[in-house]
Amino acid sequence: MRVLLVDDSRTMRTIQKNALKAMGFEDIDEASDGLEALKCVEQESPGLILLDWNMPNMDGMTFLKEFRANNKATPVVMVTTEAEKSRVIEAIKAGVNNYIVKPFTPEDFNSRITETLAKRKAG
Amino acid sequence: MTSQHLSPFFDSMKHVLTTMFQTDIRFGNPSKQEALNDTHEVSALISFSGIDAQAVSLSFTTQTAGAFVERFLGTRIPADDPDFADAIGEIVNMVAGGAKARIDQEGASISCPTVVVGQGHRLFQRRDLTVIHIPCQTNLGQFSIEIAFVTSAQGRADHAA
Repeated sequence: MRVLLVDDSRTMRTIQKNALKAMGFEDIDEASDGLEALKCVEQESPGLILLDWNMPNMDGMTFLKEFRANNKATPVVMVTTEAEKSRVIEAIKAGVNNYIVKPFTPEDFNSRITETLAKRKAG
Repeated sequence: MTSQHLSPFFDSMKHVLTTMFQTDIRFGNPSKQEALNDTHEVSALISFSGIDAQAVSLSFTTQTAGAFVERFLGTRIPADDPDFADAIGEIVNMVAGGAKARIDQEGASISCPTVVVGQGHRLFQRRDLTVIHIPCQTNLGQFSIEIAFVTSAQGRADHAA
């Protein structure tokens, strides 16, 4: 399965990439903002997107709304420091399937991704 | 400042360090920064809007910052590498985001982080802000947190007390 990692921080992309590899994912693409991410998904649709919220050029919510306008199926997990309940609700209404708050442990990360993909498979 | 103003930052900092760095933290006594005598080697800053805290900064020696980066990424990165600054910026980003969430003020937002690397720099805040300095001790080294509050927050805290 191809995974698209969208985060303006190379550090966070590295940490998530390492965690995904530990879970067995090998095909991992990266984008540093929503605009780059839109170009990536136009070329090839990923099986999973991990999406930061606050990014320059195009933030995660703007990308999500544009992406969901054409794609309702691909699971999207928001990975962000935005932890307020109101923000989580906003993201879910916009179409995220799961939510990981930074900072996170590898176990948190693993379980949220596994849960997301299990629901996708069941649905 | 009361503990009510500072505890979101203490809690967030502790949570970031235990979760991502597997290290405990001991906070020293907070003090009002009267003069800008402290110089730093590595600093990371974020601004807020919509809350009494206007900015938070973390300041390290290069050695301690390097220890944090190595624990974060699993590899040593030189201080002049952009990935070093990115990692330090991400630390303050998580601390600020966690504090903002604990304050839970509608409309609050944080900026992107700024990282300064270079011996002997000082951080200046606006003159109308009250800056609280908190020394911190971890097994990766010592560092400090500075939080700049609108001075009227100090007035509100004094009144409440």
